[in-house]
Amino acid sequence: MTLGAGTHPSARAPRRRRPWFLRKVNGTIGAALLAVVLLAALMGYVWVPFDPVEPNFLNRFEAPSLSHPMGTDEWGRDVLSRILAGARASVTVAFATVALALAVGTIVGGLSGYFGGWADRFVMLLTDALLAFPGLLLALAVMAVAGPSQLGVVVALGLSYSPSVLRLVRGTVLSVREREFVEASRAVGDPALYTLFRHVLPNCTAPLIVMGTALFGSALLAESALSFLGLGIPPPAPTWGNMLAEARGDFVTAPWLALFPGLAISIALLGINIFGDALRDRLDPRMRGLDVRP
Amino acid sequence: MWAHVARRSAMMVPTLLVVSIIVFALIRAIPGDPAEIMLNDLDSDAAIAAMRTELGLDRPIPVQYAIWLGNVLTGDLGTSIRTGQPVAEALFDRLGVTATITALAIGVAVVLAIPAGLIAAWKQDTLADATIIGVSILFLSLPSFWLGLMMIWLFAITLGWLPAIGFVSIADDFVGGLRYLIMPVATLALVEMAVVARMMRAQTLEVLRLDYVTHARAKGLPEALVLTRHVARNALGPSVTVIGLILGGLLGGASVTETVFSIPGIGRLLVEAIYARDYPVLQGCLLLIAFIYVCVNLLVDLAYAVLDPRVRL
Repeated sequence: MTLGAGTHPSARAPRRRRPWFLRKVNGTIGAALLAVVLLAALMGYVWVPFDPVEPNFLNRFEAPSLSHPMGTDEWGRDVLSRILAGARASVTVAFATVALALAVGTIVGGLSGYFGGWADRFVMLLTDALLAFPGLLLALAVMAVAGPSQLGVVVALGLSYSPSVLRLVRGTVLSVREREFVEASRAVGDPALYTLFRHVLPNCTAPLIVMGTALFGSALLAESALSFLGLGIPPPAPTWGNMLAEARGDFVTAPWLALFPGLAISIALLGINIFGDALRDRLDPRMRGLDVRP
Repeated sequence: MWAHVARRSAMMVPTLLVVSIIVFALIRAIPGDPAEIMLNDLDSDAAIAAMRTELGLDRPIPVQYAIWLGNVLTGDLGTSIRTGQPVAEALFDRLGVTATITALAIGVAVVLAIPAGLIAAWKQDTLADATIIGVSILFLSLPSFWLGLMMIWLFAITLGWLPAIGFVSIADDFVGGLRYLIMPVATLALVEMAVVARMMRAQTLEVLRLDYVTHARAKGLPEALVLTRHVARNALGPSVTVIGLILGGLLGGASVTETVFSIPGIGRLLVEAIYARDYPVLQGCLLLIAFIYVCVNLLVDLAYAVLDPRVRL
């Protein structure tokens, strides 16, 4: 990769180098928002102020106050604690989904593109068919089969996103396969799989990082949407999506119940989108303008 | 041209066949015996066995698929377990509602986003550009279901300007129907506007760098004409692709928005079918939406050739 693709030729005297994502204001904001979300998820694992699941009927529908900064819900549970526990669920599911999609897409796409033949044609036919289900459709269908569960969401979304990853990897492999260094590896007698994983696939790293970041945001939003529809992670375990679904019935009298989970999702997505843009400009400017949405 | 259309259309066939196999397999993978679900627990074993024969469940799987595909191709998608209505009829009713909302949302989004993206790129690194980028990325980050809830809270509950949820056909009551449409259309349009504006901006930046733009300016063409006649036309291509993807996605993926506003569209039908384990309806929704999406993508491909003469047919 050529460095400094975006720098002006008349660059000023070199200053102390800051990490690339802090050099632009954009990246800083994105990184900061993302850090808040990851910290919230971490707190969801380690410590939350109140029990996010046990009902406490003595203080139902309390407006935000010092002891409950985001109020309490219809079961008297502290909304802040549930937001933190929800961050844990959302971030965990999003990470697992992206990992699954990247693993399946890279391995199948890599093998398929490198070896070609009828297997490659079969894989591409299946990929095209899976890509014919727009947005949440495939995930909804899989959730209808699997029933609501955390693992189900990861599998459903992982399956939905793998075809896009597969196409990206296969495309890169097809163009890299014919280059001299790959031929050299073959010429010295490297096993085919070694050549593929050692010399061909590393060329996909930059676009895969960019795509993975975008997919992370998509997965987070999609998990919220599925849980909002009651087809994601089932209550009483809190997620931002099922908190919003529960808030629908009461948000006339208790608007904070709908406000805070939605803000949490928006902050997370804003962080990922801003950070992802900075990352893309840095790593793979060709992908600019391509937004992945669930 | 027509040979190209025919060739591209023929390429849809294997994709749609695999789509049908995936849908068939998914529906069969749902736990439980369809015959028992169609009847109910009180029916005798004999009735269930009779139903299995009627549904062809006692035949080998490939035969079942062939019979099923034959029915689908002749427009027989079965009847809803929940309402007894033919599935094709239910889909047709609901599709009209979703199509109305989708068409309006795309229209609003395109009318606002194309000029916004063009201006942002033209005024790159100015306050106008920063504002458009900032607003776009903000709307891109708002989940549509939350945006919808917040709009209901503000405009329906607090201010009382608009009806909160529901749907009235604009064919029955134009003004009343329009009032129900404002919030769902705005919810979808704001998010999709952001996507299109970002694409348009990125593409315009690419085109503005090209020599022929400098040439158009050098020959004294007014800037407005340079932008509309030379820049916009060439920058539009990828935006059309994105609009096509959004259009297909909205037609099929508006389940969440339709749930928020209790709109009887196809997305809501799909979700209701999942809740009620109404498999014929679920299957019909999946097939129809995938079919529409594939067709829209084909139209986008063909539109490319019309927009850009360099695309070889």
